Amino acid sequence: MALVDLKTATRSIGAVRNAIEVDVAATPQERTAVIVDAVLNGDAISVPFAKFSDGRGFSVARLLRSEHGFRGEIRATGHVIPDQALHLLRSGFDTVELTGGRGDKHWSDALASYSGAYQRAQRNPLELRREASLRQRKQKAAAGLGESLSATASLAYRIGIVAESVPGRLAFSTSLGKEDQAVLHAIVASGVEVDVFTLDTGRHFPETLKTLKATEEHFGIKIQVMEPEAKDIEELIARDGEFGFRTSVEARKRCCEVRKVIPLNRALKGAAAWITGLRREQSAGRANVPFASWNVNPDLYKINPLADWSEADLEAYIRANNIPVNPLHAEGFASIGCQPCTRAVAPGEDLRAGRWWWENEDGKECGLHNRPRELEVA
Amino acid sequence: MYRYDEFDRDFLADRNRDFRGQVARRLAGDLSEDEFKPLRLMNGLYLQLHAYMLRVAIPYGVLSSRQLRQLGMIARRWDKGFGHWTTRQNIQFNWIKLTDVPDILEALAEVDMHAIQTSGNCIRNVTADPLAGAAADEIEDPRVWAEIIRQWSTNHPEFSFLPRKFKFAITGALEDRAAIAFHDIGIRMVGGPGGTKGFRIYAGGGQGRTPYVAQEVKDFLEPGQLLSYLEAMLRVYNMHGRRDNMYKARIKILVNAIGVDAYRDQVEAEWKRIQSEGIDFPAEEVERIRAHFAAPKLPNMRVDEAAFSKARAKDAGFDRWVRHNVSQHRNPQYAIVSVAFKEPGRPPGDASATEMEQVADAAERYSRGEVRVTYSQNVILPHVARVDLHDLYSDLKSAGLVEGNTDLITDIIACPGLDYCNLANARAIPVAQDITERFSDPKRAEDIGELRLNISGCINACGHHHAGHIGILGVDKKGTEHYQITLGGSPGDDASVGSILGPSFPAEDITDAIENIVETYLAKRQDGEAFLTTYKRIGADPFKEALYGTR
Repeated sequence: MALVDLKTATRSIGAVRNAIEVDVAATPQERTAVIVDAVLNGDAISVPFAKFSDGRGFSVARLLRSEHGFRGEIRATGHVIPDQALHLLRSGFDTVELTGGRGDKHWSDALASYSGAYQRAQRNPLELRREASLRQRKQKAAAGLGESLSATASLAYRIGIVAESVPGRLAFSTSLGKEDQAVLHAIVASGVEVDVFTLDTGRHFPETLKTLKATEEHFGIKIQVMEPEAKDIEELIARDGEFGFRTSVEARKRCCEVRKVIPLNRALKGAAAWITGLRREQSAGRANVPFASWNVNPDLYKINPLADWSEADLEAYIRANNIPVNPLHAEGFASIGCQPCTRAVAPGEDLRAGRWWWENEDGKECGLHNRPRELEVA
Repeated sequence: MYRYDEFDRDFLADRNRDFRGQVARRLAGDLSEDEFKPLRLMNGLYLQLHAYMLRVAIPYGVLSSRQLRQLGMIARRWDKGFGHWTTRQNIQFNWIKLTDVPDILEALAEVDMHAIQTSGNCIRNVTADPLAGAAADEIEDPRVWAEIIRQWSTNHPEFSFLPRKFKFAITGALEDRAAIAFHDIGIRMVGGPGGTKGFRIYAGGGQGRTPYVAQEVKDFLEPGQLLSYLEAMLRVYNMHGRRDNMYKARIKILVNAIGVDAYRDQVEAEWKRIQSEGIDFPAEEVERIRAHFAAPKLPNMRVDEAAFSKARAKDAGFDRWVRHNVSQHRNPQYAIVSVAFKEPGRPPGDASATEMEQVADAAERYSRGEVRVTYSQNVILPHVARVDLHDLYSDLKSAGLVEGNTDLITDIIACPGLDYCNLANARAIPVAQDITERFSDPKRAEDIGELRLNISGCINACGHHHAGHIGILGVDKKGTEHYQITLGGSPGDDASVGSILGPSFPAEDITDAIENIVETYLAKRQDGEAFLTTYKRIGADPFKEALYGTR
């Protein structure tokens, strides 16, 4: 017997779990009894479709999830057709038992056939109309803000515009690299109140930590240091080893997740805008970085006040304002991350070429500046 | 009106690509006809007697002149040059080739239109007051909520394979012009505590072989709770509606089998459980949709009442047209105009491509490009300045669209009947043509007064015969077309189902029988009372006597 896994749109591999059938006409008490059995035995629950046009199964799956709180596998069996794939997934089904000659391709095509949905359902893998409306409103506001930012060349003035346009808390994440030092200078110069924080991954260069101290002294400010959760680090090392991030992109991303992304999200909680030092010149992947954009999750504006600056602009600003920088820059390190994952770059190389240099060029981000949509929302 | 943005257009493009693929799979034999049928029905495509019929949604009856022009183009290019206004604010094209359908759907998408869920066992196009946004007696514009229901119900993951079709109607006015009592769910906007506005919800109305007037399920529901309540109503129906017998599968059967109180109890319990699931649209989303229906800024158009009266006195045709096809707008300088596609002899609701273009022209010139379609198969121009009425009348007169009179005996609602439909027992169109010709003298029709005459070709009641003051139902009597007469139905606030008068008549006698009923009424009426009032006062017996003699 083969199953289609609706969440991944592929034929599910490995042993098929045993399933207990729930009658579509079952009472809530009878459904509860089936769930108890399924949970005790680690079984799936199967919902039979006598005919594909008998839509009771959709409500049954929804009730198993939302009324009874069942989290295990729900499987559609009997007569269902690929055209119902999204209906099934969105109602709470995980898998479909393949019967007859219908190929997997029809199912994967059907699962990819829509990009949006109008109503909130049990599962919401597609963008909802209300989310699109929110995105449109926020994107419009971000575009307006971007236009105001592009109208001035003064960095401190740009920070002032952000403070005026975005009501709420402003947060600035600094890696203590050159870009962020320039932004920090402008924040201090503008007098705008911004929460400044840095992510201490536990793997930084000693020079970076010295720069942190020097920066605090230079500007007379306190930079909040966000640490990863000790428990997460322990689990990570236990699973992948001390240098597991070298073995695969997935393992590397798990490391970034624990050491950077989770602490970042903690620091950004409740912030209305997140100021960064991203520049278009830094890499091919950042060539289209806007001055301001809207970020879905967490819901905030992401502000890149240095987006249009060249390397020369940056150098000139740092010299003119006598801003302290990480001494590693002088040794050929352009973009500085964790010690094991950063090397110096040769003249003419992409500025971020020294990050995770063993990986392919596309998608070399740690997850701070790009994140996928989550499937399970309801 | 609601205008699509990128999201809505992308959705429609996905849907049309999906259906194009389904048509290709059907033609390649990858989908059986049994499996294709519900899919094509959900995209408005029926197989009728002679050809495929495509039913295009006119959401809650609202059309722009641009959309109307495109419908005319489709009629000309892919049909035989005409379309047919349906009895649920849609339009049907009766001569469509399957292989053309994906292209037609794309032509519709160009003007933000579709055929989604105009058929099949799913939630259908929402019927609404055709005078919404213009009527003087409006509490709140129902189009906002009709659009919200449209969006919520579109491609609903849980409610696309219901026991049977499911129809909503909503009105926001004091007078019900949407026949909410004859829908699976009827919604009336009402005032609530502290000046709030909300909804009163009815369920279980319907026509067909077991007609029921809908019963009240919820006295008052706050606006922010509508969708979660409807979701609870639909879930109870989806789980418990009968699936063993298609004639007993509508929600009216469920509600009447378990009783409206038991149905309400189940809905309320489910609703309490799901209220926090985020089904209702957030307030900003409701406001985004509401903004599309902002009242148009109507310029000051002072009317010279003396000149207007003079024009009416001078032209009897214009005067009669004003009496029957012009109604009160909320702005006293404006009027609502009904363009009746019902002049004697016309198949009720048929509109040629040229006529669609002529009405689109008139809408652009006189009604801000806005058009409405009514379930009584006519077209409304909702915002006409009264100073323009005579010019509009002249334009419509040269288009041949002023002879039909709204709400008179000649304003017949009729289904396509056996001329097109494979469900029908009898033809409806020739009966309508014959009756309208019999009463073609406008003076006589006007003297008879308000009279709703509805014809259905079979018990499915697409011609709303149960809700007609006079209803005619086509039946098959030993292989010949016969017609049964009902009296006393009403679609409005006094909603009622008509009662069968007696044995049916063969086609050649039905017009005489109707005339006999009308003459009986004229003889019995007092003080210019309307047909329905007389009928309620004197009952069926005098009519039975006149038709069947004393037995």
